[in-house]
Amino acid sequence: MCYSVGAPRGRPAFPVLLELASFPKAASPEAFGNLLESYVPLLIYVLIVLGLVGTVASLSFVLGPSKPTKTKLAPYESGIIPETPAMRRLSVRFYLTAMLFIIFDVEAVFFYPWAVLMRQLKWFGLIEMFVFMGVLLVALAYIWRNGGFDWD
Amino acid sequence: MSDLYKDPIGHWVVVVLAMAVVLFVLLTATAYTVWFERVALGHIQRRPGPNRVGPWGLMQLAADGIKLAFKESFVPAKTDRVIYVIAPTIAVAAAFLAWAVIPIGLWYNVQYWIADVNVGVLLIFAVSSLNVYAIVLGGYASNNKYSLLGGLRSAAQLISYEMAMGLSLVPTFMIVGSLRLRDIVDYTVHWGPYTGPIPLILLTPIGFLIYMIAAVAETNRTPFDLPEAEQELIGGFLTEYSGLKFVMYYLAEYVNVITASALATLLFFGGWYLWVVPPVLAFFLKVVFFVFVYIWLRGTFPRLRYDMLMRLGWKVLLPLAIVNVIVTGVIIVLVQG
Amino acid sequence: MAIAVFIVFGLLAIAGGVGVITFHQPIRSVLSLVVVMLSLSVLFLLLSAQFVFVVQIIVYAGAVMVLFLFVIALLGPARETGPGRLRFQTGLSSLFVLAFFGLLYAMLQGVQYRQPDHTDLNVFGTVQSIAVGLFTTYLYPFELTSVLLLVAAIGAIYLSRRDES
Repeated sequence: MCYSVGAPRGRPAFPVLLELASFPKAASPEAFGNLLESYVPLLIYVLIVLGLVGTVASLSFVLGPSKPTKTKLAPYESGIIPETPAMRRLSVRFYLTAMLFIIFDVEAVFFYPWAVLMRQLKWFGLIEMFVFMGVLLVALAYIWRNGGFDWD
Repeated sequence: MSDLYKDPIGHWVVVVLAMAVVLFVLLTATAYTVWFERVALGHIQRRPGPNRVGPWGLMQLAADGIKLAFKESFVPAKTDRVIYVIAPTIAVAAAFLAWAVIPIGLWYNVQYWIADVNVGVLLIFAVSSLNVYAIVLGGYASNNKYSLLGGLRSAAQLISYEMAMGLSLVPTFMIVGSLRLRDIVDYTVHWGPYTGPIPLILLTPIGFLIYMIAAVAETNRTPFDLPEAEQELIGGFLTEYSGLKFVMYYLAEYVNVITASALATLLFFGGWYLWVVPPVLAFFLKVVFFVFVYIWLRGTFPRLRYDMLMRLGWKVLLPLAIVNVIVTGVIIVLVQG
Repeated sequence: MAIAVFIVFGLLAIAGGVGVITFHQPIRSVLSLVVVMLSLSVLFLLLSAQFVFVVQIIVYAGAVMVLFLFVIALLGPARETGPGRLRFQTGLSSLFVLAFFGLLYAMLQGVQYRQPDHTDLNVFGTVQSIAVGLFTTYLYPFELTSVLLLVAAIGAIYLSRRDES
């Protein structure tokens, strides 16, 4: 829900058991007849923010003078007149970084559910995660040894 | 008060009020953060800082804002006009959306969220991961070599530190067992005679350290302000932006600074709990403290070189964050038995 | 309410998909794909899959699409112009689309809708319930994912390495 009435102190954050059936009921006053209910304010907020931002962006054209000249509209490259378009081939490093980012981002996404449940999973969960992390540490070591992280 | 929540109309009154408060407070706070930064930096560098417009220069930002709003904000030639305008829009929208899950109205036993959802902090990650677009697209659409290089560089920087940031919070989630900010702040310990909430930094100091470093990098602030490395890239992706569109990028940057400070407060420093201080004041004071830390860092450290920055992110923070997760996991399971 | 949101974001997803294949500048195609991904995330949310909603944004909009942007930066100012040489594709593709929709329609005939089993919406789709499934029932797929990521890492390094010889 979009508010909280005196979240009781000392309430275990989410006493999850491994059986789905034994999940606790929500602490919020109303039943969640529809989960969307807690996201509707978010949706409205998104719309309001987009409206506000759009207004500011359009104001930037309305306010202020508009006297374009050829020199003014030219790209600023420290006084040197640009001969070529800005877009050109760039280092493969950026591509590599983005690839590695996806790999470790997906890894991190698996960490979050594990983290919230690890107190219930105990050693079982820890060993599961060690196997997962072990393989990824191999990946990390491989990338490291092959200079995937070097930029100089 | 609490009857109001159960009423379907009262519920919406609260939601709309919360949104209005978020937007108003954030916009005001951003302006005063800039003022605060300029004054603090001034004093760090032994000069007075802004002190002409209004008492203590407090109206300086209003003056700057009005001036910039009425400056010409042109779109450079041979650019992709649509993307050029959309890019700063994404920056501001992403910055404001993060506040949907951060509590903004706090009083004893009452907290307002726009959306207090189960996925909590992840929603902030999701929204702030869209920041990359603002920077890459701004750089791409400017048709300027400095902009393009600056944009791509800072995009690579953002994504590199995003992982370290995500992983640095995993120990906190492990301890609390929830992603909701409310659960994290309300996490209660029973230490001998003491029962109550604690600042979680006591339990995950390394996590806090990684979070702080990554957050500075994520907000593109000194010593990680490579995107705007003036000496080599002029203004980075900002080079071709002027007037209100320029303001939008800066607005986003300072909102992000406040967001990162608020998150540090909520995740590691006990949020709205501070001895007998009223919750709103406690939260405010802690956020101001972290904003000051940001400014202090800016006044103290020189900028990193780009290869050093990437080395720090990938070869130091990422492995350290993973080791931190492993060690915390083993300790939790051992202590819990 | 839910049906209105579904229609809006469903249409947005389709519009994004059309944008991906019709824009001539690659960067606009990528942005259209981002719109598709964000709309899909909202559709996940409509199915009460909160965690998948966030992950969809973090991984697809926040990571995979950024890679696409970088690829465009790598390719340089390439711009797809004109109808291209393979003109017969237009006719052929519309034929395939028709066949595809026919297939979809035929498939939907056999679908029987029913209420899902455990629909405590405080539980379903939360991080906790995803974790329960992921770390008990679907343990092997989870562990195999790490191998998949390892393969991806090796592939990325192999593709981008400098030829020593």
